[in-house]
Amino acid sequence: MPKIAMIKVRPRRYKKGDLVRIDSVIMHPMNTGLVKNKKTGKIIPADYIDTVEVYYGGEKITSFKLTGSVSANPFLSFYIKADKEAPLKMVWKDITGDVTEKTVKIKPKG
Amino acid sequence: MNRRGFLKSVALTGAVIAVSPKFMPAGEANAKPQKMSYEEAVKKVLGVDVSKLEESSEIKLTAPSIAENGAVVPVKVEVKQPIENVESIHIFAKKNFNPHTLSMFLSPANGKAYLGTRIRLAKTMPVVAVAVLKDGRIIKTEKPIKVTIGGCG
Amino acid sequence: MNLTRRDFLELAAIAGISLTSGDALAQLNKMKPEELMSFKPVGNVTLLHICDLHAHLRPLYWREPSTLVSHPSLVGKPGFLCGKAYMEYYGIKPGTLRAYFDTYIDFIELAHKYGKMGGVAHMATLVKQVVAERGKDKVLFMDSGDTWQGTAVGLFTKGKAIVDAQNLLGVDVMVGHWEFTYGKERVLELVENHLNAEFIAQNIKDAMWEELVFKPYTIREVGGVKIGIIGNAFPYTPIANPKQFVEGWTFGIQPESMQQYVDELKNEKKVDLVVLLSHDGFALDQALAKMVNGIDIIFSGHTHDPAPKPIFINNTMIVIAGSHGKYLGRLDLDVKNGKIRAWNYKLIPVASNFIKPDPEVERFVEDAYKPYKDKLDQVIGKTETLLYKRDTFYSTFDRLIGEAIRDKTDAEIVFTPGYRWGTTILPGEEITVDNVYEMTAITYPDVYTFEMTGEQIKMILEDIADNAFNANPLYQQGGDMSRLLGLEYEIKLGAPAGKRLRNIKVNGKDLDPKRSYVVSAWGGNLYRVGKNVRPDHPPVYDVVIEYIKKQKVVKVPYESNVKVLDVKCGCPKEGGICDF
Repeated sequence: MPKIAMIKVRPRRYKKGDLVRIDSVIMHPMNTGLVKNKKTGKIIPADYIDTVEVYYGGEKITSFKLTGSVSANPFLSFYIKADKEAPLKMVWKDITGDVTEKTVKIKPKG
Repeated sequence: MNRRGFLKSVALTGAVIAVSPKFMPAGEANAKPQKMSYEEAVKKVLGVDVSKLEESSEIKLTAPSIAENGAVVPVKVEVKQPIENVESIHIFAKKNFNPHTLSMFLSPANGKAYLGTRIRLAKTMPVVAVAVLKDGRIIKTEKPIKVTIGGCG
Repeated sequence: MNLTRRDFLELAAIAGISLTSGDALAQLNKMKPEELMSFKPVGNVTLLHICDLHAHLRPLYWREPSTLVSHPSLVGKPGFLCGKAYMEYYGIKPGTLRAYFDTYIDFIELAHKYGKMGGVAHMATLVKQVVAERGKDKVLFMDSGDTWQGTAVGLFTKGKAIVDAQNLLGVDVMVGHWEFTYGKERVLELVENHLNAEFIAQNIKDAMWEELVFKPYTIREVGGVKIGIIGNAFPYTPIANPKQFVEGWTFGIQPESMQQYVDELKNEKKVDLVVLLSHDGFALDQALAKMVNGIDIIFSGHTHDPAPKPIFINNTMIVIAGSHGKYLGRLDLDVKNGKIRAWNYKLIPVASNFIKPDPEVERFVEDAYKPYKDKLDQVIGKTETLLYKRDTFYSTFDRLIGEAIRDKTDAEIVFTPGYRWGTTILPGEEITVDNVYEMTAITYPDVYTFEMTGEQIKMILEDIADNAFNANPLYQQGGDMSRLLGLEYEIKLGAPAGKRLRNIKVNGKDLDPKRSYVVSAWGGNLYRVGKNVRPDHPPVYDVVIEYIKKQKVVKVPYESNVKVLDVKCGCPKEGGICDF
């Protein structure tokens, strides 16, 4: 099942060619598969995001490999050079096969 | 109970699970997890011996001296090199069950070699930031981060 | 009051009175506040500063620490100075008002001579005097926080009575720490709807997006000088106090963003002066001044140090103004073209007996107490011992609280937090309900009783010790060491983390790592470690009030349960030297 994901572009207003920062969060427990449920005593099955890809105007520009050492609700922040008006898409994949996508528009002014 | 387990149990409720050092290596959800040393993790992820990692001021790691919560430690890495020369950035938490935390693969479209994220630390330990450069060098920097149950005001 | 000629001369010196003949005491009683605070004004800017008022609207006794040690490499320097070492460092003579305010030495005798300290009505007189002298446009009043919490009136009004006092005093800018223990919603409510001052913090961000919660800085024009003031809240608020009060916010020292704001103020906003208003602590701010370039002045707080002179790190001046309303810091500056050409600083002692309280603020304090007066002024016992709080390891008042808890819960060991705030009660004095709250007025007062193994106890003590005694101030976040009843230990302050404590004994017997001990604790999150053995969690103030009522006359030992192995006295000089 896809998760809730959010992307913010900073600053809000930018010109063509500016460096802008992309901050992203996805609501995901990042279960490591080794922690026991305190009440039932059973292991909580492993379920964490291991791959994140970033596409800008259809072209893959950045990717990430994550492990269970990344905090729950993974936060990833990086830069892009806003040299064109185009969609920025992020794709998160977890080890259970769930895929979440989120797209924002990169729209330089001036 | 060992110190790690102890710290885990003291941590406030929200953090109890998150503080656990244990996790499955990527793509090996059904395999039995293996504890890895920092040296082994570097070898596995970067394919080189730790002695090949060159201490450098061209890589900057920003992280708190004392973690507010071992489950959520904000970490920022910046590589002071032209973006064209930066292939990837990696973060290792030296004493975690598996020290490899995450890797980022960049391209010139990034404009700037920067990574911000939040990681889990099982206990007090150094965090290492590594950048693989296209000129063949692998540079690194590290910072000790204290994970504490806290004291008094 | 029995003032000798020497006392009078000392007071006269502080007051700037010249005396050729006549009755010294009569002269002193006639002394006007403007004389007590005699000060050679400089330049066009006056910056007033208080820190760590801890909600003390009324005057009190407050004895400075008799032991103030840390890692041996840090002791004997500003931040870790007390007693004789302090007097020697700052050139203060024994028996003087200054010695009474700034050290523990001869405290009882001097307390009888000089009387109580602080009180917002007395402070208001001093502030109004400065404003009258300089003109409102030349004065800016800054508060380094820990202002709203520490007394019953603060607690019962959830900080409101203290905010009202700040408004009357004319506080312009503040930062915070214990303020947050009223919960973040309450902080926002008071800041938005009641506080006249600006509440700033460059190091408080929402945890998800790392966006600022408060303004990181404010720019004020004072005497024609453009001053940029950056705020730093206590960086370890979510560790030192329960996290739930600031759930969803993150703190930290944040030197990187601080540098950005310094640069922004200098280069873009073109300010003449960059000031950091902080609740970092004196030692941490000294470390910070080495990491961040371009801060002209740091107004520090948190560690309660009374420092009569500024210190300089690189080009940064650092001042800190004691605690509990005992002092008003005054810094005059002559600023031209972004340069400090001259300055004068004085840590003015709020010597309540020699200052006529401001009538308006005095009435306000009476009104603030009115709803609670019958409860708070109730006498519950008397003390034979000097009851004090400040000391790195042990204090008589904490011992009394420990005894009260043990009496209630039958625990083998009692942990009491090493907060730096509280009160002091002289031998022979009555103890009131208000006094108990002065030691315990927190929003998480529950006393928990639970089981812990010897090994866990050792680990937690090592952890707390590292927070207090780490050689690097950046890795220190604690207050004083937790106080323990029923447990004794030796400590080597300079030993590595995890290896400081030795020879730990519980009620006379060696600590058994495998054995389970019944422990009571309050003011922290220790109880989460063990299995609770008592279903009730009585508030600590009720436990202490009940115990003192039962005792009628309180008597507790002065001897510490902790032996320090590598520093031989409580107030060493630099290098840990104890020969005076």
